[in-house]
Amino acid sequence: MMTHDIRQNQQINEARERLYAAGFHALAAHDGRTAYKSFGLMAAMCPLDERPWLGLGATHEQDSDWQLAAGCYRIARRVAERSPRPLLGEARVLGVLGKLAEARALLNQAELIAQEPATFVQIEEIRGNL
Amino acid sequence: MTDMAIGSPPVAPLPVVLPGTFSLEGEATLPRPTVAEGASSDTLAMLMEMMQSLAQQTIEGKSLEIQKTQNSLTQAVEELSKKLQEAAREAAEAAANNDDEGFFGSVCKMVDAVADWVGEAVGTVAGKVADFSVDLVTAPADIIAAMVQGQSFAQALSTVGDNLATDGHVAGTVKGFTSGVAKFMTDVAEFSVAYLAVIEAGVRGDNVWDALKGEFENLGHSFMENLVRNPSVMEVTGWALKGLAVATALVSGGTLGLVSVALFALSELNQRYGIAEKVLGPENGKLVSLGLEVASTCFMLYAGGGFDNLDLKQTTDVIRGAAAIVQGSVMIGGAIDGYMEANKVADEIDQTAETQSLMNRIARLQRTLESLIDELDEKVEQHQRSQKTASSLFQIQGATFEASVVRA
Repeated sequence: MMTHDIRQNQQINEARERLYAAGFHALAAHDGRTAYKSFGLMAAMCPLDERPWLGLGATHEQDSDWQLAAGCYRIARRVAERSPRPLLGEARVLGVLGKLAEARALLNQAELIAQEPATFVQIEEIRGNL
Repeated sequence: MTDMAIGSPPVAPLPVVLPGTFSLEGEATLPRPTVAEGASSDTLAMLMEMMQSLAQQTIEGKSLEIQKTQNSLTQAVEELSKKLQEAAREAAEAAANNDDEGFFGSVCKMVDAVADWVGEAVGTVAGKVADFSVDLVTAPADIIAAMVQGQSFAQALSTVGDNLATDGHVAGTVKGFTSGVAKFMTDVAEFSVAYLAVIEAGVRGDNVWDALKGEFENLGHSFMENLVRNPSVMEVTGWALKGLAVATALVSGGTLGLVSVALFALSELNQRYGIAEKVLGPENGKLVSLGLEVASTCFMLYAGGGFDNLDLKQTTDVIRGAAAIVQGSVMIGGAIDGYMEANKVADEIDQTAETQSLMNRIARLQRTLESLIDELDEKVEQHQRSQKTASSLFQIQGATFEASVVRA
C-alpha cells in the first residue's frame, strides 16, 4: 500500500508540474487561451500552490485585465505569505491602475520578506516607476 | 537562503522588470518549470491516463462489491426522492392554506432529508472501505454517479476527460471560471480578514454585526455577480474541480475527503436527476443546487489542504470562513428568499422564528457531519484536525446567523 501511495503521489506531482510547464510556456508565447486553461486547471487541482495563481495573474496582465490580475496576485499572497512574487505582481498592477499608495505599501511588505539581492533591485525598479 | 513559497520549487534571482510590463526571463514573474515543456493537450491526456489508471486499480477484482454498492446507492437515492416528494406535498398544502410556518417547516424537512442521505451514502460506501485494497470512496464523484446509472468506470471517466480535452469551449469556460472566482475570492479575502479577526477576538453583540453587515452584504453581492450569474463557474465546478481536485483529496487521506466525495456525489445526482428543481421549483431548486455545489467545493478544498500537510488554520482561513458563510446563507436563505419574494410575505412573517428554525436545521446538519467524521476517521491526528475544522466551520455560520437573528 505504501508503494502504491508513493506511486500515486508521484503521478499527481508530475501531472501538476506538467500543467505548470504548459501554462508557463504558453504565457511566454502569448497564448493566453492555453495559459488560462493550464493555470486554471492547476489552480483547481492544487489551490494552495502559489504558482497557478501567479500564472493567472500574469496572464490577465498580458491581456491588460488589471483588476483580475490584482485579484489573482492577491490570492497568491494568501496561499504564499512568505513569497515576495505576489506582492511585486500586485504592486506592479496597482501602479498601472494609479493606486500608488497601495502599491508602495506592498513593496514595503516585499522588502521585509525578500532575501535575494535581485528581488531588492526589482522592488526599487517598480518603486521608481510609481 | 532563497525566497521560498509554499508548494513552489527553489526560487532563482529576479531580474529587473519594466514598468507596467513583466518578463518571464530569469523568473521575473514566475518560477521556471521543473519539467520539460509539454503541449496542453498532452498534459490533459496524461491527466486522463492517470485518473483512468487510478480508477482501474479501484475496480480490478472488485466488480461484485461495486455492484452491491451500486444497488445500495440506488436504493438510497430512491429513499431520498420519496422523502423529498413527501415534504414537497406538505409544502404545497401549507402554501395553499397560507400556512407559512408549515411551508418553511417542510422546506427544512427537505434539508434534513438531504443531510440524512449524505450520512447514508457515505456510510454505505465507507462500509466497503475495509473490503477494498484501494479506497473506493476516493474515486471521482462522476464515477460514483455513473455507478448509479450502471456505467463502467472507464466510460464515466472518459466522459469527464472528453469535457476537459475539448478545445475552445474549455478555454473560454475556464477563463470565465477563473475570472469569476478571482473576482469573488478577492472579496472573500478582504471580508474574511475582518470577520475572522473579530470572531477570534471573541467579540459579540450588535456592534459587531453593524461593523460587518456592510461587508457581508457586499460579499453576498459579489457571490451572486461573480459566481451565481457566471455560467462558466458552475460548468467548471461541475467537471474540472470534480475531476482534478479529487486528485488532491486522493492523497490527503483525510476524513474530509470522504465527506467531500459524498457531497459531490449528491450534487452530481441532483444535477442528473434534477431532484431539487423538480421538488422545489426551478428558481428555488437552482439555489439549493448551487448550495450543494459550493458546499462540496469548499469541502474539497479543505481536503486538498491536507495534501500539502499544512496548518489548516493558517492556510485555509480565507476559504473556510467566508465560503462557509456564503454556503450556509445562500443554500438555505436563497430558497426561502425566493418563496418570500414570489409571495410578497416578507413583511408578514416572523423572521426571527424562521431564522431560528433554520439555525436548528443547520445545527442538525453539523451534528450529522461530525458523527460521520467520528465514524469514519480512524487516525487520531486526522480526526482531531477534521473535528476542529468542522466545528469551527459551523461556528462561523452559527455566529453569522446569531447576529442576523439579533438584528431581525
